[in-house]
Amino acid sequence: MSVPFFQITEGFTRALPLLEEGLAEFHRQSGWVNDQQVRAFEQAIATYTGAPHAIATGNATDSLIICLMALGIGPGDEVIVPCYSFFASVSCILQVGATPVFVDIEPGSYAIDCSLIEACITRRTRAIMPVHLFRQMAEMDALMDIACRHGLKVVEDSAEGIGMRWNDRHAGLIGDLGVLSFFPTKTLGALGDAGMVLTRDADLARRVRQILDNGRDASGLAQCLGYNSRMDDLQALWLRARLPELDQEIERRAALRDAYDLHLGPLGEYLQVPVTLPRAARQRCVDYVYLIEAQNRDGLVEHLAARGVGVEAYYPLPLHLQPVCAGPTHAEGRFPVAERAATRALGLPLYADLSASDVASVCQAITEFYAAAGAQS
Amino acid sequence: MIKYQDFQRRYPNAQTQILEILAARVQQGDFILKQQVQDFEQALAAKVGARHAVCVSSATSGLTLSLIASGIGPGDEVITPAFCYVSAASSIVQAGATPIFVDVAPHSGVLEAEAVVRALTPRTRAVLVAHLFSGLADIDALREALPEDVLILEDSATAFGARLRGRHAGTLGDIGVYSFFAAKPLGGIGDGGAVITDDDQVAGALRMLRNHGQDGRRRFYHQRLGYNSRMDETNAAWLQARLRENDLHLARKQAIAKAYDEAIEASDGVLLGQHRGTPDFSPHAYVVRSAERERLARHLTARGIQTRVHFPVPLPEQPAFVQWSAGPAHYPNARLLGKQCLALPLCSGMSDGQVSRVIEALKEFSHAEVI
Ligand SMILES: Cc1ncc(COP(=O)(O)O)c(C=O)c1O
Ligand SMILES: Cc1ncc(COP(=O)(O)O)c(C=O)c1O
Repeated sequence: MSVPFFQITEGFTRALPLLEEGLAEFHRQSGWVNDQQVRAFEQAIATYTGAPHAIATGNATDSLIICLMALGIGPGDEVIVPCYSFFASVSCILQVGATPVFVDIEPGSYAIDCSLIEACITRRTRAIMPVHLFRQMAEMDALMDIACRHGLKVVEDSAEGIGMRWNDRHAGLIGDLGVLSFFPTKTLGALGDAGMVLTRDADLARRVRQILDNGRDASGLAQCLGYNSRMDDLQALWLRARLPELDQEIERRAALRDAYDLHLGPLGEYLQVPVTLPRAARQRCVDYVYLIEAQNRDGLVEHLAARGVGVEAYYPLPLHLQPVCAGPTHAEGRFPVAERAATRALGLPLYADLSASDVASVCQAITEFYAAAGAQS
Repeated sequence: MIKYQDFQRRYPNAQTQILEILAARVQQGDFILKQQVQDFEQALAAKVGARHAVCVSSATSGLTLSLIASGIGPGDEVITPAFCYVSAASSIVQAGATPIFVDVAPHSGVLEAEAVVRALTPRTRAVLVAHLFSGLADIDALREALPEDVLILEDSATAFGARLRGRHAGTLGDIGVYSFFAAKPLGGIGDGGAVITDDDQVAGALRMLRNHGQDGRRRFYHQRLGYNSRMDETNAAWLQARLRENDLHLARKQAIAKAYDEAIEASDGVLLGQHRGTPDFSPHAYVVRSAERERLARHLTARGIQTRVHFPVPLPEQPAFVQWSAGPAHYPNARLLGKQCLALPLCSGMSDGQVSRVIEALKEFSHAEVI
C-alpha cells in the first residue's frame, strides 16, 4: 500500500483541455511574467471570491510581507498573531522590522483565541493577523469588533482559506487585506509557487501592485521600496484551468472527511478527529487539511511512513518556540493550547483524487498502530 | 512587425516542451526545490566553473539574499551604479544597508574602478557592480583597486554567457547573480535567478535563507529569518534544456549584434554603440545612443520595429531612493544615457531578413541626419 500525502495526476488529466488552450495563448504572448494570463487569473479569482481587488504575487509569504508594507507597518510597531501557524505568519512581521505579539489558539479551530487579544493590546499595537488554518476560520466577528474598537488594522493570513466564507464573505475580505497561497498542496494548488493579495480598498491595492513589482509604478519609476514577487503566467494559466473544478473538489474533500471520521470514530480513546466550533455567523468550512490529534503522534508517523502513507505534522514547533523568535518572554509553557497541539497534530492525506479505499487503508494502518499499542499496555 | 522580444520565434516548440515538463512534474509529484533544481544547479555551476549555484526566485531576491548571507546590513554601505535596474538599489535597502550611488562611464554604461574608489569610506562593505546590455564591467580592475575586505557582488542578471579574459561573468567577483526572467540570455518560463559563489558558507546561508531559514533536514524548524525565494521544478527543467542549447543561441545573437555594429559604424557618429569591454560578449540588449532618441524610436516604430528604453531616470532620482542621492550634479552620465539609449530588437529567433530591415532603417535614419 502506498498513499502519498498529495498528488494531482488525475486533476492534471481533467484540466488538460483548458491547459492546452492556455498554453497556446501563452506562447503567442510577449511577456511570461505578471502578464496577460495573470490578469485573466486575477479576474477569475475576483469573480470566485467577490474580491474588488485580487492581486497576484509570487507566493503568500511575500503577500503577507507586502500587506504589512502597504499598511506602513514597521519598526516600533506591534502585530498580534497566533503562535500556532506556518512560519510565514511571523516571519512577515519580523521582515518589516515590527514586533510579533503572540496569542494562544482555541482548541478545535486552531485559530487565534479572541478572548485573549485585548490583554495584549498596547500603545504600539498596529494590527491583528488572524490565521485561518486547516478547515475553519477564526472568530472574525469578535476579532473585527476588537480591531474596530482599538483602531487596529486586520491582515488575514488566509493562505489556506480559499473557498472558506464568513457570512458569505470570502476569507481574506473581512479585514483590510488578506492573502491566498497557491502552494501545490493547497486546495487550489499551482505547479510551483504562487500567491495573491485580496482587498476591498483601491488605494491599498495600488500600493500592493507597486510593492510586488520592485516598488515601480506603471511608468516603471520606483515610488517606494519593493520586492520582485510576481506570478508566472504559466502558473496563472494552470490555476485558471483548475478553478472551474474547485467547488466540486471542495465537496469531494468534505466527503472524504466524512469517510475518515467514520473509520476513525472508534479510536476516540487514542485520537481526536477534526471538530467544527459553532459560531454565530454563517460559516462555510473547507477541508484543506484533515488534521487529527493523536496520542504518540511521532510513533504513529513512523508507523505510517513504514507503510507508505504520507503525513505531515502541522505544526511541530509553535512560532514562539522557533529559534528565530527566541526570547525570555517566549518561554515554553506560555501558550498551552498551541504547545499541546504541536505534539499531537497530524495531517492525513486529503485531496480531491484520493479514493475511498485509500482512506480505508490509511485508517486501517492507524487502527493497527493503536491495536498494537493497546496490546502492549 | 519585428517584436522587441519574440518568444514564438525564440522557442518554436515551447508548447510541447512545456506540456511535457508539466506532465513529468505531475507524475513525479515534485514541484519546488527538488531534483530538477539540484540538477540545474550542478549543470550551471559546471558550465561557468563555480563551486556553487544556488537557485532563487529572481535576481532581485538573489542580490538581497547575497548581501544578507554575507552579513551585510544596517550601518553598512554598498556602492552601486546610478544607472541600472531598480533592484541594484532596492536589494541593498531590503538588506538594511545604505546604497551609495556612483555614476557610470558614458561609453559603457557600467561602473569603473576609479569612480568606485572615490566613493569608498570606512563603512563600505561591498560594491554591487552590474554588467549591462552587451557590456561587461572590468571586475579585474575593480578587484585590483579595492581593499581586500570589500565584497564584489556581480550583478550578472543580464550577462549570462559573457566572459572576461576567459572567465564567466558571474564568477569574476566574490558572488555573482543571474536572472532567468524570460527575456534574459538564459531565459526561464517565469521568474527565477541563481547566485554563484565559491564560498561554502555563503552558499549554505543562501540555501537556508531561500527556504524560510530551514536547514533542509528538519521541516518546520526555522533557524534564520528566511524568505520564500525558491525555484520551481518546472522552471529548472526548462532551464536545463535552455542551458544545453545556450551556446548556439549566443552565437546567433553575437552575429546579429555584429551586423548591427556595421550600421552604427557607418552612421558617422549619428548613432553611438556601447563599449563592451570584451570580445566574448553576451548581447542581452543591443543599445544605441542617439541625441535624438525619440525621433529614432518613432522612425523605427513607423517601420514596424519595436524598441525599448531602459533606465530613463537615474536610480538616485527615483522617489524610492532620493534620500540616498548625493545630489543631481553627481550623476550626469546616468542622466545622459537615460535620455539617449534605445534598445533594438535582438533575439536568437530573428531571421536574416528581419536583421537587414533593422539595419536598413538605422542607415536611413543616420543618412537623413548627415544630409
Ligand atoms: C497559514 C499559512 N501562511 C502562509 C503560508 C505561506 O504560503 P506560501 O507557501 O505561498 O508562501 C502558508 C503556506 O505554506 C500557510 O499555510
Ligand atoms: C541589471 C539587472 N539586474 C537585476 C535585474 C533583476 O532581475 P530579476 O527580474 O530576475 O529580479 C535586472 C532585470 O531586469 C537587470 O536588468
